[in-house]
Amino acid sequence: MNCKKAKNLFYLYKELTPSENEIFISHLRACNPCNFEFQAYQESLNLVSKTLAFQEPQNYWNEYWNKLSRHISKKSSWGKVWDRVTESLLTLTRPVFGPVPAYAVSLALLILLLGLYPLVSSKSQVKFESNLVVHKSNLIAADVQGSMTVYKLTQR
Amino acid sequence: MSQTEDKKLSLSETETDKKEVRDSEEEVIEAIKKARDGDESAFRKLVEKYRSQVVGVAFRMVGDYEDAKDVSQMVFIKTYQNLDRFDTSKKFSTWLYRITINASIDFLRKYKKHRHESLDESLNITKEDQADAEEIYKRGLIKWAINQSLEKLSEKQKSVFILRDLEGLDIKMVAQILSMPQATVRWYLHRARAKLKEELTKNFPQLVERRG
Repeated sequence: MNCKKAKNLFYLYKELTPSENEIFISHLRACNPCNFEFQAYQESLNLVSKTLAFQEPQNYWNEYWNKLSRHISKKSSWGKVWDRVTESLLTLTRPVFGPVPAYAVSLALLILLLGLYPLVSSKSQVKFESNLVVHKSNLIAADVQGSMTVYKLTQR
Repeated sequence: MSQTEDKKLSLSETETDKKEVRDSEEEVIEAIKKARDGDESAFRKLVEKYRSQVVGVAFRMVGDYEDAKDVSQMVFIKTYQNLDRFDTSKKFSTWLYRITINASIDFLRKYKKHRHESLDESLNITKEDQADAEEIYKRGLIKWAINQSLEKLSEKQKSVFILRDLEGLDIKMVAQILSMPQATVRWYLHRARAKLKEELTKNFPQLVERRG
């Protein structure tokens, strides 16, 4: 293992398979700069973990339940339906494309689809292609009428 | 004590642990069923059992004790309102972790998107603390640097990092909580750790360089 690969594995240290781990550790044993850097990285992670540990401030839970219980009354089924509706509406206001909210993106897509619909749905012109072999006339057009194809011919 | 006796003892200890976990899970399911029927005291038991877990994750996500408390209240209100939807064959704590992560992300989007904690807020030295001012200053500086660096992570990178590295959950559970494949969790984790190191080196090189 070279140093570049070893450094890449710093960030997956806890997720390595036993065989990968063995190769990684043997590289660290043989390579002082990598070992030193890895130890420093581990120490900084420990510091992050220690700094962000949750230590309850004094009286933190005072009034916690009282405040919460005011908001949790059993809702009627209509209340639940209303909650779902408002939740869905709120989802539409979330930004999905940079600062653009979901409803604006949906609206733009809808307009685009409506605009494209006539183009997609209009009868495409029948492409004049035929395997018909005509000896005494020229084949000038073909049109689909129901289940039949009508050919227009002119005399030579 | 012989090795066989040692093995027997550790085996029975493991079995006791498993039984305790099973009993605790059964108690939780029982409380959920009662709470669904409108028993507030049963829900209160659930809140008291899980509030530290919820506030802990919320605190790491939003970086402030009072904001974390508000987020946790939102989490429990949402939990109570959606108890009927909870599948009791699944783990309650996993479901709660998911609600907490989502509520924290919503909170950050709504209230903290353009608000950056100043260094003064992080230091927050009161008159009573003057004696330990230097130590508090140092700790505040570290906290500020770490929070600044965490802010640079994407929502997914941050969630994965907090659940795996700070909460100590295994990859499988993180994948369940965030509804993503385990390989994707690993990918986000790799990106998050690398980005965090890069940001810490930029904001506070002393943290990443080896001390002592």
